[in-house]
Amino acid sequence: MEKTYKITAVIENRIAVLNKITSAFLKRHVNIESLNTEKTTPEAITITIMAHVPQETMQRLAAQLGSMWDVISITCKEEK
Amino acid sequence: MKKEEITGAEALLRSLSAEAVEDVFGYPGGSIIPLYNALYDYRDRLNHILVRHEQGAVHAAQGYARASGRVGVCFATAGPGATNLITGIADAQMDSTPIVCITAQVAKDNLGTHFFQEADTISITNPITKWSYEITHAREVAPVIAKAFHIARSGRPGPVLVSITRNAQTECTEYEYVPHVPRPELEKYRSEYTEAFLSEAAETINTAARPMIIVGQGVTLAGAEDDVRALAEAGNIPVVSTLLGISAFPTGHRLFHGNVGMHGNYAPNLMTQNADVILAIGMRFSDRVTGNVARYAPHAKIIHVEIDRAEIGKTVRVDIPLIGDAREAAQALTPRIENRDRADWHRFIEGLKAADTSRRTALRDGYLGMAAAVDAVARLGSGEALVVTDVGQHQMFSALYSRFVRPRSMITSGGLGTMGFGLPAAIGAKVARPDREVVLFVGDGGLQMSLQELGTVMQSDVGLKIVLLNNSFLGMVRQWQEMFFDRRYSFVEMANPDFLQIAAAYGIPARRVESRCELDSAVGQMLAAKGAYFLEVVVENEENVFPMIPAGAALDDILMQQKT
Ligand SMILES: Cc1ncc(C[n+]2csc(CCOP(=O)(O)OP(=O)(O)O)c2C)c(N)n1
Repeated sequence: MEKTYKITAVIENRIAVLNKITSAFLKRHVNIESLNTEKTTPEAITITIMAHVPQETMQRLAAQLGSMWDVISITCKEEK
Repeated sequence: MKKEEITGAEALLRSLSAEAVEDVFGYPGGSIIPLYNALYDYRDRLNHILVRHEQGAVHAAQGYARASGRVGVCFATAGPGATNLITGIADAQMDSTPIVCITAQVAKDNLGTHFFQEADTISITNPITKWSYEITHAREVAPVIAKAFHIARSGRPGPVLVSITRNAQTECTEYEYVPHVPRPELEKYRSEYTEAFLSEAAETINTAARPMIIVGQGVTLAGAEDDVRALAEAGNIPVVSTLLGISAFPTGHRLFHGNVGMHGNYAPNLMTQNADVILAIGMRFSDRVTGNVARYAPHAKIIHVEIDRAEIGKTVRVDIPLIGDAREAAQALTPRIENRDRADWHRFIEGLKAADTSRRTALRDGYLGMAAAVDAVARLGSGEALVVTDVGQHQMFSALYSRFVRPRSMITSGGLGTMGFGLPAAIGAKVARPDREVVLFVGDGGLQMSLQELGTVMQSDVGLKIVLLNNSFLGMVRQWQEMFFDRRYSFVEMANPDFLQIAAAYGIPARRVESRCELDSAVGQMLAAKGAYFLEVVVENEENVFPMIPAGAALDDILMQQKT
């Protein structure tokens, strides 16, 4: 069943990292419905993504994002 | 005090030396000339092997890494040089191989202008690298190379790509090399199990009536071969392996029963369906291993030892995850494991092995099939050889019929199934381990995908033994067309050149075998040869690989021969 998720990832503040994140969504054919990026510390950017996906896909996606070297932390919450 | 200044290119070479890199596979070109210019002065410290195509460089780096456990390194120029690496990078990502690919890029000021030989290497390789970085200033060289090597080899290894713009190669920088140590919170791999998990896992194994261990490549990557053997022996637990786990456990060991998977052995697949506990170590339950997932291991509790937490529960349900290093986990488990007799289970397995008729058919008297050639190398080489394969039927026969007494002895493209991998990977393996007998099994199709690397064998004097199993077909595809597409052979026949003349053109001694009775003497001659040798075995044209689990079927549906 598809649900809406809010993914918050803290990533390294440098060129190409956002590209890596979005390519993980592309790989699983997940459409990004909203995207916000903000420099939160000199080293880090916090990105917030909303997507509508089946739970299983979301779990795999979050696991992959979490294992990326440029991702400092990741949380994923279901949006009501 | 001011530090000495050197060019970015030299900083790169010094950084490689600091990482104890001794061998590099590569191919020069315009944007990477400054690096090659610096290399000219480092020839005494860095052994550069000139390949014939960049795909050869990356596959050689993969073979090097898998044979030695060190990080494989390759160089390629910008644009087409870099794009020629793609297949090998994707292969290394699938098979968790630690490599660092260094590609040149046009100068920073020319980026984004469709400059000659500009390609967006970072974007192109994004989905298939563990990490990548484009260096645009010489000062970044040392820290980025340090980070690249750390990432390539740590935890679950993988390919890293470092792109370096032309200006960063020629500019000067202060040089100081500091190994990369990530901040603890950024370290991606940690053991995440508690005492309670270990006890539960041990208890589950100790109380099992029909337990089995599946070893994957993670065992090799963690250097856990001895520890896993100790674990299996402690509990008297039967062991099987995945395709990439082959040689992580000695094939002649009384507890070892072969490989699981689509073209695995009969007994291991049926053991999986009958086991009540599966201890899976360093493997990822790929579709080739599980067959129909819904019907996979219906009676088993699964204990999964795996360093990459993203793999836990990805395809099959896991009852007890042990996230962490295979070696640490095996060492922690062993003292808790009790030795149990389980005579019924061992007898059942022996029964399965006796019921496997595929072996008798493949090795029957007078018949020159692929199995006979692989078996001859295993027998006459006493299982000492390091076997490299390409992709296809010969790969599966190599997996089924080789014998191994030493670890890191089977190198094959598993996850990506890359034809053309074999020859360059075998070159890399031999460069890494000149002390070992390296034997390549390759099909007539796959050989011609990287045939040009015979030039590398010749120029760099690589003492590799090449066994061409020639069936004049793209055999594996032909088998599928025969079995599942009404024998409609659509573009699988090969009109081949005279391979002996090709070997001769490269100065490689060669021999052709066309009957079974010549096989042993020819293999003996090959193994006795000092340097490179090319043995063409003209095998039965339309042989099929069995056992086989048809796509989408469960492991119980394994076929041992053609359905008539
Ligand atoms: C690069 C690439 N292209 C296509 C395939 C599909 N494929 C898998 S096995 C195979 C046939 C291999 O034939 P050959 O090399 O002669 O080996 P054989 O199966 O006869 O042992 C093909 C075409 C592949 N795995 N890799």
